[in-house]
Amino acid sequence: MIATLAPLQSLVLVLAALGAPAVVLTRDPLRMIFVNGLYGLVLVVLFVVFGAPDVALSMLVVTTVAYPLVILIAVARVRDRE
Amino acid sequence: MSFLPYAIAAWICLVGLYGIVTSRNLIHLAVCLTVTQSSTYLLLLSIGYVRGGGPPIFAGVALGTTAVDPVVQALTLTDIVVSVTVIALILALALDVHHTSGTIDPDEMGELSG
Amino acid sequence: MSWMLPLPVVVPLLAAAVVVAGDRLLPGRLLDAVGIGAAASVCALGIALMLVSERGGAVQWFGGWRPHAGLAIGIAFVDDPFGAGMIALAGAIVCVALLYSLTYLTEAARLFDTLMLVCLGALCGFAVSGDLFNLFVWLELAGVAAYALTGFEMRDIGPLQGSVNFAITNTLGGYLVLTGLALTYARTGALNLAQIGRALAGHRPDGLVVVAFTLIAAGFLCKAAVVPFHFWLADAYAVAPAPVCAVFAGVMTDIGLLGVARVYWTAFSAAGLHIGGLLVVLGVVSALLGGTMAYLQRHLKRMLAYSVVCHIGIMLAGIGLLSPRGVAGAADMLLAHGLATAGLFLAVGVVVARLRSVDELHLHGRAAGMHALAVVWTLGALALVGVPYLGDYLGHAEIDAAANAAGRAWAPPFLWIAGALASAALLRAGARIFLGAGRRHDPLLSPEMKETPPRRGTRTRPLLAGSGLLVGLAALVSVVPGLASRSEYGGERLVGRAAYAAHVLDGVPVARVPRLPFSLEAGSGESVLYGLGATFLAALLAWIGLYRPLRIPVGGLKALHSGVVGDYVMWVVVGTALLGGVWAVTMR
Repeated sequence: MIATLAPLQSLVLVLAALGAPAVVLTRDPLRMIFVNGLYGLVLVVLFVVFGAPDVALSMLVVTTVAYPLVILIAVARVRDRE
Repeated sequence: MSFLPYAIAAWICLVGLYGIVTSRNLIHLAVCLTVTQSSTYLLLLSIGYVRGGGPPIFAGVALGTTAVDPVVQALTLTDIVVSVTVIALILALALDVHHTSGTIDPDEMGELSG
Repeated sequence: MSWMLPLPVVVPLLAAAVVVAGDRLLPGRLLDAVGIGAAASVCALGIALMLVSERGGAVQWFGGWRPHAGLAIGIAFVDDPFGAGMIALAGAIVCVALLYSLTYLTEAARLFDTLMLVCLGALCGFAVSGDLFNLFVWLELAGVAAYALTGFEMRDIGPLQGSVNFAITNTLGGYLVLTGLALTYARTGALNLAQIGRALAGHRPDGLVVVAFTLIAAGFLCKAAVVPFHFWLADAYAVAPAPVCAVFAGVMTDIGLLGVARVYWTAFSAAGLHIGGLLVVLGVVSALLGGTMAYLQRHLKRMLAYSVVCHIGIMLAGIGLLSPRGVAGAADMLLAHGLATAGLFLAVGVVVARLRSVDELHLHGRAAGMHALAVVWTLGALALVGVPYLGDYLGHAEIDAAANAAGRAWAPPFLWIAGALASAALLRAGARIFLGAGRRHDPLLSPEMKETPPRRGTRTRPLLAGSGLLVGLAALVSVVPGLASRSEYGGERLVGRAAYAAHVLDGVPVARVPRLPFSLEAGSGESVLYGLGATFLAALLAWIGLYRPLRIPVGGLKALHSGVVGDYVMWVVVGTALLGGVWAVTMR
């Protein structure tokens, strides 16, 4: 059931494993948008090397447009009222 | 080596959960929730992966060509869409919370105890 | 008859689209009628599907992708008595809630109707889905609509983080289900429940199967608010408007239990896991904790919310007995409890509309003139405790019988006591509010919450009618002729894995049952005694709460329910680890 992995895939997996704590440990929301975007891009590459280019495309849109946009709006609204 | 994707999915899930439990900011917390969810993408795709398999696109490909499992990719796609909806909604709720109680720190809102 | 199966999903979703699109184009009354009509027709469809399911059942494969040689590629809706019954109940409660909201809500009613209809459609899809991934999708859709509904009009209603806590813990529950189903797919290569069941049968259970089922069950138990996954529930119910609470308590929460039961019996019962003991223990603990917490509340909605936790616990114990009879008891209780609690939440809405408060001590004696509401409230409380032949009694009696048969006779007394605790709180609050009885202060109760309910119209007669209707129906559940035998048949259908798989995968029609009798379930003398004892205990505890406030240390218990979402998520993790640990140790 479980296939063996090529070195490239293992490398991207390790990158993702390092990216997740980087996102979580960034406590400032604005910086977090940036780090989260980078982590999302690592996931996009991961999808491609795991043979899912179409999923990677939609993830690309979500991670570079949708997430930053909604988070940015939320941060801006909160800053406005403070 | 082949258990690596499972181990890393579990690791990412736990990292996200750690972020949620310790978060002092609802926006940060919502992003941590997406990190937790990204572990499910990873798990799903690595389950469907076949060594040497190409993407499951069968136009102009000889019969019998190895490909990865398309079902899990459909699941991942649904998963991504669901997650965007949920995050947008949680952020909207967080804004309303900020509007009424003036804070987005879950620890400072504790009016609901008991 | 399989063409009928998608209708309970399609009708409310279409109606929701019409209501959104027709806003400002069509007259408001017409759109109200569309929404209410859709909910009512879902109820009718549910009843029709129940009749169909007794006459052989039906399976709908979407797009004509029928299974070949036991392999299912398509997505199936499967008709079974409990799923259809859930649809009928959901349709009825949403219909009443929409009618109620015509008077109750003042603004933006269009959006409210839309969200309610989407939630209803998703709940119906969940109830009949025969596919593990689709269970997850419907659950998330119902969840998203529910999060938005909790926040509805919330600017008026005080502490809002309840809705955020609800959204975050339940989303996490959804991810647990998703991870579990991914692992299941990895092991079996199937998403169809019947096919998973066949793939798991005949293999020794291993770690992967235990982990997969643990994650799925934990996710569903999050939605069902079973201890220790229950923390979000009281927070969410405290902020949601009354008609939304009615739908949540009536069907939303209970659907999680249906999920656990469905996935276990159709798929994982083949794997030889021993889940019963832990479910009974969790049920008893939930029931007792929910009852105790209800007794400690002065906020009427939180009181009712903890009473929901209590009764969910009783139902879970019934399911944990792992017999058709136990499941039937849980289903009968689900019906009576859903109607009664929904009615009681609507009654709280009447109090809010009239007196602008939901605080038991504040309202002391202020509703002295509202006799009809007082009668509804008392009847609801008594139906919940299970006075012999009233409301919850039938469910309790069946669970008693199932527990005796399963050699777990220790459980029922605890379940009855827990129900009595929750109802004691309701009776105490009723006596304070409607009769002005008892003291004005009680240090035992949780502190007051800052709330400023909006000014509303005082036309409360239609509101009272909705509340009275649901509570009245709930009170009658125990004396419906033939209900007990029908729910036992439903239990056998749910539990019978092989017949389900043959029906879904091989197209074998379910064996027709001989005509079920329309007889009254008598209940054993033991259950009658338990019922009388519980009623007495509830009255006694209510009296003690009014005149002799207890001085017992409950600070720790209150501190656990901290209102901080991080703590709740930690409990979800702890609970999941507990389930997995116990099931791994007791694996065959």
